[in-house]
Amino acid sequence: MSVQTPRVHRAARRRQAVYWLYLLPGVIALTAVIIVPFGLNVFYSLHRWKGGLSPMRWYGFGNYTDLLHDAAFWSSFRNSVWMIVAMVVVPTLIGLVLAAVLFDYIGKNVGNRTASFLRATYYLPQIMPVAVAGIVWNWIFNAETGSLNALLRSIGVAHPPNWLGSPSTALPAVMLVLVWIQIGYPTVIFMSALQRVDPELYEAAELDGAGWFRRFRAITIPQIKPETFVITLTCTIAALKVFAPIYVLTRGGPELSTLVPSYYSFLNFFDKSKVGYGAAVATVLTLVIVVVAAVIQLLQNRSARRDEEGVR
Amino acid sequence: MTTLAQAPTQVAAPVTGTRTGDRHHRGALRWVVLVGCAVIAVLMLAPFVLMLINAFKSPADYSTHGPLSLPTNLYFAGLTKFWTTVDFPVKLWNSIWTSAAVSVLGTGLSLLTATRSASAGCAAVRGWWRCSCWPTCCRRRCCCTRCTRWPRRWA
Repeated sequence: MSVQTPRVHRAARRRQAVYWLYLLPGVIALTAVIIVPFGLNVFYSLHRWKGGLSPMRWYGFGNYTDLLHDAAFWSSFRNSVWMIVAMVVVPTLIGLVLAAVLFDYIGKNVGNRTASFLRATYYLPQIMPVAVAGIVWNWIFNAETGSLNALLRSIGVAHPPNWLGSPSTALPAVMLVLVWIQIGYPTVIFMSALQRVDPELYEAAELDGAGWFRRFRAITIPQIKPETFVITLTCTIAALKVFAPIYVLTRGGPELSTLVPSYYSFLNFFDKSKVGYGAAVATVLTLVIVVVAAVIQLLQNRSARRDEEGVR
Repeated sequence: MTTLAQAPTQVAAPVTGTRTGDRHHRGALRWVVLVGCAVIAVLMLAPFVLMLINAFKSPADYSTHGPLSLPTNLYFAGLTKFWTTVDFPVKLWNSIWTSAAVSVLGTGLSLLTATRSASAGCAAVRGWWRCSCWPTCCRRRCCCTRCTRWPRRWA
């Protein structure tokens, strides 16, 4: 097996040359879908342009310095933090608890089919189109005829809030919808992660007298760390670039209370026809996402390395 | 209860709960947890249910009884009107066509550019990981947890 004649070597090199051909479709797609649009976006962001056939005037970094003094831009990123809370922190915690309860308790003490059924139920909002979910929730939150306020009135609340219509309640209402949409994803991932954990570890811990919570902390959480990182990474990116739920629910309103960067970019691009400014917002958002994703990836690598070293 | 002399072999059998009183406690807890999960499931399903019951409601019924009541009689005019005015089959076909194109092209593209992932071929089986020390110390690419050599996590 270890004998390597020169002929085999040459054949292997020729085969390696062929492999470069496999890269071609990917490179073309990457150029057409990512590199060219991003380059154009950066190019636009350096200009003042109303779009279409109107003249493009060089503006340098003017759009970016304007951003620094734009209160709406800063509030959009402040709302991004809330989006991360609603799409990453809360669903991951709830999903972890739900997955642990479904897998550890319901699956073992009630039945696997019940657990699968409940898991499917929690996942249902994920397969519903965001546009449909947004319309349904918009109607549920409606101040006059909405189901939520109808329910509140029947309980006896005289003046239920105008959920999506007032600046103080719009953001929490949007966050509630996002949590509802998002819960299923970590639940399903965590449940498959728990199946991967070796039951022997639990048995050993149980023989040592560890209780449920102790086992959960010392075995479950470290063992499913890779999945936790994947969920954090994907959901954080999704939260930073969230657009559709905002578009169908509030359109950034009332009084910019639910404005997010991607919607602000869209608003400048198409409604205010300040294309250069919108492109600058989009570029900043892209950079922020890249940096955040890189930091999370770095933390994951470091944690994995530390795990291995600790074990050794 | 059962004798504890038999070693729990398959499932992590609860060692606790040997006292007779525990059994009823566990039984009660079981239902509490189940009901809790069911309540969450109902909350998750509530928007779907509301959507469903109001789809079959006539406008008059909706304005008199509100969104929460069950429809007094099944009303299909709204659905049929939607189906014809929106020309739903065309929209449905557009959707199918788009998703088919996306899945075929996306899969094709990623097939060509696929790299072997760290856990390739190992993670499919429960309890097995890509062995990070292969081939220096382990004979196998994949190690199970019974592998005595550390680290046994994926590289």
